[in-house]
Amino acid sequence: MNEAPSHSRAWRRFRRSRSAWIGASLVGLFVFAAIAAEFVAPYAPQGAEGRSGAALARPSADHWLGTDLDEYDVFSRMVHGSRLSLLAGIVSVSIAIAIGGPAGAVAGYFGGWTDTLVMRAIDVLLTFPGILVAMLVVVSIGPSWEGVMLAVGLINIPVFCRQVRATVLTVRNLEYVDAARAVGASTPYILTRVIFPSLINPIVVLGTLGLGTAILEVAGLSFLGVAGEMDAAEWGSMLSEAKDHLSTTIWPAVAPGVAISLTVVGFNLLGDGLRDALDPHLEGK
Amino acid sequence: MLNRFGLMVSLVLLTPFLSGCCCGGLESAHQQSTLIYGRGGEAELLDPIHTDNGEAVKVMVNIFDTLVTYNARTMQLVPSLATQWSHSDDQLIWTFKLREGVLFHDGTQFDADAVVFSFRRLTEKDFHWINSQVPMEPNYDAIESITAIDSHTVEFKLSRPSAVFLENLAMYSAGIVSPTAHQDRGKKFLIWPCGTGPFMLARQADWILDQELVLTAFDDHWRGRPAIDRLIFVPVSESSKRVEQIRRGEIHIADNLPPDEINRLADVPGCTVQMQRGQNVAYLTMQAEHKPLDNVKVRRAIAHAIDKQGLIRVAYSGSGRPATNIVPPTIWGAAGDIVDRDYNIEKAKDLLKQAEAEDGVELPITLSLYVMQRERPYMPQPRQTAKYIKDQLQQIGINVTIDQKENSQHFQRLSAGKHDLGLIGWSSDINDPDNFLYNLMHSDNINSLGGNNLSRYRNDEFDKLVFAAKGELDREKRKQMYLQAQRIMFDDVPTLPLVHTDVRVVLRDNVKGYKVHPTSMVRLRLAYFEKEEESANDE
Amino acid sequence: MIRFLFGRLAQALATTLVAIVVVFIAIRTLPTNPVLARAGRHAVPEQIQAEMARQGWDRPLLVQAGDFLQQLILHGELGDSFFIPAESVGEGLWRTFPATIELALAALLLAIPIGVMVGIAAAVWRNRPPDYLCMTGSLLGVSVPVFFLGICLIMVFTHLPTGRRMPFGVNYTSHTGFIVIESIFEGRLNVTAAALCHLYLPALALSSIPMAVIARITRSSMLEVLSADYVRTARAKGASLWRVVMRHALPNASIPVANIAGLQIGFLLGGAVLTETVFDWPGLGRHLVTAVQKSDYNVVQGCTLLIAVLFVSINLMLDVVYVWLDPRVGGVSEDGQ
Repeated sequence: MNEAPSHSRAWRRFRRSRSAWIGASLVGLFVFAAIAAEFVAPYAPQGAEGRSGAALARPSADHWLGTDLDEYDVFSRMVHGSRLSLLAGIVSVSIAIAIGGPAGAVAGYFGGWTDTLVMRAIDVLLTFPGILVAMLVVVSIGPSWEGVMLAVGLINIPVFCRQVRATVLTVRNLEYVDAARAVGASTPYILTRVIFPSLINPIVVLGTLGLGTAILEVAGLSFLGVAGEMDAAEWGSMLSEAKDHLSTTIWPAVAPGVAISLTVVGFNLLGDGLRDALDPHLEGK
Repeated sequence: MLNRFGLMVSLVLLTPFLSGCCCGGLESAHQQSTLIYGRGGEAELLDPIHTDNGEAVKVMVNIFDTLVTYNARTMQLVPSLATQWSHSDDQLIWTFKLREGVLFHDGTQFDADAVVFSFRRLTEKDFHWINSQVPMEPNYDAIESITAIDSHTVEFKLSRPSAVFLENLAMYSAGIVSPTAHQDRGKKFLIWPCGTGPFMLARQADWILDQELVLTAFDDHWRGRPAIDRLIFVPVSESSKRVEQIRRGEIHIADNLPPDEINRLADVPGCTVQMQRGQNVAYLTMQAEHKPLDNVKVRRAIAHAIDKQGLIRVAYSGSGRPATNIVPPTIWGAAGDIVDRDYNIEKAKDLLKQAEAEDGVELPITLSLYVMQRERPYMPQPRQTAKYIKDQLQQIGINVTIDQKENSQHFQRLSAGKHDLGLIGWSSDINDPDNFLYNLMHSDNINSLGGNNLSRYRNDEFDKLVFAAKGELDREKRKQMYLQAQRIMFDDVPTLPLVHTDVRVVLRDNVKGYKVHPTSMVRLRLAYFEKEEESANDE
Repeated sequence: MIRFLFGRLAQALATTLVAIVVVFIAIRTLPTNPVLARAGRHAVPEQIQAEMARQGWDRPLLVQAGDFLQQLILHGELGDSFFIPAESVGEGLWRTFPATIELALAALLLAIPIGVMVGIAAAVWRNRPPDYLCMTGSLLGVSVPVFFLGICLIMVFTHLPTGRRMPFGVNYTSHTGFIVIESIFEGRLNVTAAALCHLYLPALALSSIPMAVIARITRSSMLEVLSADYVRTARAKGASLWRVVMRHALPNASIPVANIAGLQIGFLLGGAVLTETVFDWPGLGRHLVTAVQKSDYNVVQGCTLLIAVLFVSINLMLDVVYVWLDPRVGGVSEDGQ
């Protein structure tokens, strides 16, 4: 474990894994859709110019997945929706890493009351199911996309905090860390330069898997209707709007549902692939 | 081995198909005629003075009777628990003769004392209140005292003449409660009410919150026992489920359905759609204390920029009428002669430019638009309505950010005047323009804690007219005052009336005798099942 | 051992208490006036102020929090629901809690056998079509959002009832709220069948994630066991695959599976919030969501308290089980069995 696999070896392992490739291409597809939404989507996802004049139309040559209740093109909204979902996922996972990582590292490195304090705070967070915490947070800071990202970030802190703490615990007494300490390196130096490299792999793996979870949670919150601005194209709210009109047309519900599922499948496969490639020991955690 | 696994997995997965038959067996257990009414929400309590929740009202009008009531067809006031009434020349003393031989559900006699008890609760602070909230209290503030002259005569003394006094007596909040049951049941009266109406809540356990509320026919109702034995109100908050249930015949009446689904259900065999022109209005309030909405040109520009026909097509699936005034045309005194502003983007843009040039309004304008989360009878699809208005205003260069909140929060934020634009509406309590013009637009009703003048509209001339009309007893004079007031309001556009929604419910074909009410009241006394269907039901 | 357990118990109590206070303050910082929220469009301003004062909601937050804790700890009082004035918080919990428990248990009862079977099948036919099929299924299980799965189930199983626990108008008064269990004990099996019909779809949707997780764990621990020497020996001696799996592999693989299944109970409570919303299931999760929307302070506190206590005690029990299985965790060196 102390000997990190060289990148070329990891790459070779990753390349051999078929499922990792499927995951990478799914993720790539949605990232592409998010970046090039304007070019991919045939119509505007919102605003007066996007209205087709017919609500809940069935799929046709003009509208591949039909139109929704607001006369917008479902396909275009689905494509644009990847933007908000991916963004929300990335921001919230970044928040979780930015808070959970340092907290876990400090807790693991210093131990003692610092450790107790951090871990008890994490316990408080884990007193409730995550989605409930997120809902309470969003509602109390006022529904908005920023609020949703913050809340989802918050409930994902424990994952990263615990992993980083565990890794630091195993690493902090290894020879090279001792050696650094012996030559008089400062604690910040040891944490950021000596220990940090060994944290990259687990964080990358958990971060990728966490993106999938975060996207699910964001969609869940907006499905519950606590997410705020409702006219933006977002998968969760598209789904919750469409579910009242299933007997008319199923596409406005199926399209975002499939999109969420595929994105999450993509991140899960990619994350598994990365784990197998980067750090086979993580399996089973 | 694969086979064995496959068998076990598919057995578990197939359970629903196998058990389908079991569900059927249970329902045939009861022989009574049961009418099931599916609605979108649940009542929280059923004491007439302590709630104004529409879902509670639907139930209460079947449990309680009032002294007078509206004839459903003519919308005229007709006798109910009072057989006749008269008033003094100055209209300050009203005397009511009460019906004899009327029984409450608990078997006690209906008499003058019950009327006095019920009205003292409504008008006297803390008189047998079981909750601190009496939402309709202000409607009865003209009542000074109530006395029982003899066992079946009561006398109301008013502090000032009131044109809407009699109308208010027909409202659900003036339902007569059984004093005995009220005292016996104490706090539980809130969920186990007792009146003289055609249906009763026989046991407290008949109401399982969020599940079902079972009313039983009251054998001794003074108008005769209703045809339906049991009336069950079920809350089904997902409207798609109500659609499915009425389609399959699991429920017999469904209300508050998405308009496009109603259009579709009209073609389903076994379902009938009933429609009434509603006594309601959906409107856009423009907070006049916020710049630039204090500028009448901006407000007029917004009025020109919204295509109400388009809105009805998109958010109401065609089921509604464009509103010119806040008073629905189904209520007397609505100003039918006012011609609405045309939908004209160019005119709207010109008005904005004028506002910029003459009054220094800064363009482009960015406004917030507050909207509720759950559907209301006047606004079946709030999100769609908001999005449509946003897109319309975008065309004249006004940027709108939509802010959607739970209904209860939505209203209080509007009331506190936090919004720029807000979507809201009103269903009439009584058949009178006062209910719209005074409640919604008079400056008395600007109050951050629940005031209904959400646009914070202040116009002295309008205020004087509407207030004076309250005390004017000559119907024709009142009407002229209201017409005048509506003209002033139309000019000022403090709010933009959008749509008068049609009230539509879907019924199973075999349900007869029920007529949907313009104010969404649900009176099921006369409902019955057609014979052949009923026997089919019992199979 | 005892000291360890008491330590954990004290810790759990402390975290729960902190969490409850945090929720208490969070819900009160909402920009909502609960009285006005209930009074709605016929609000009477004087009545609203009077009620705020009566409830003590106009006092400083910390004073309120102190009062709340005092009430809770000294008297076990949770107060009344504000939106449903005739119902106390406890009654509301008792009305909704059994539905959630039944749902979660049913989901677990679906998830464990199916998950284990799928996992075994995948392990036995490793890297062959059944394995791919099972693993794709379990990947979908963790990836498809439960609310989308719910909608799909509703669309597919159109003949199954959803959104309630019983058919309309059945004169069945449940004393405990656990309809399925109670009716079995009463011997009214037609009621049980009807209740199961209504329970099936929500439980199936809710079971997707635990089922997938259990399948994965079963597969990997089965693979480990199947490659062990004694299993190979048994196979070489001519024992049938079925026998080997049932007699040797499964018992050994079941410990990690049991651990995971235990952990999933907690997650089920969280998943129930979304599932209950999709299926209109009258459970605790939906009760809480509605209460949050209406700012019904006492109900929110009651629900969160109950959930926290459940959550924490499940975790505590799992801890105890771990210690019992593996005394080293508790730092105890004696035999510990």
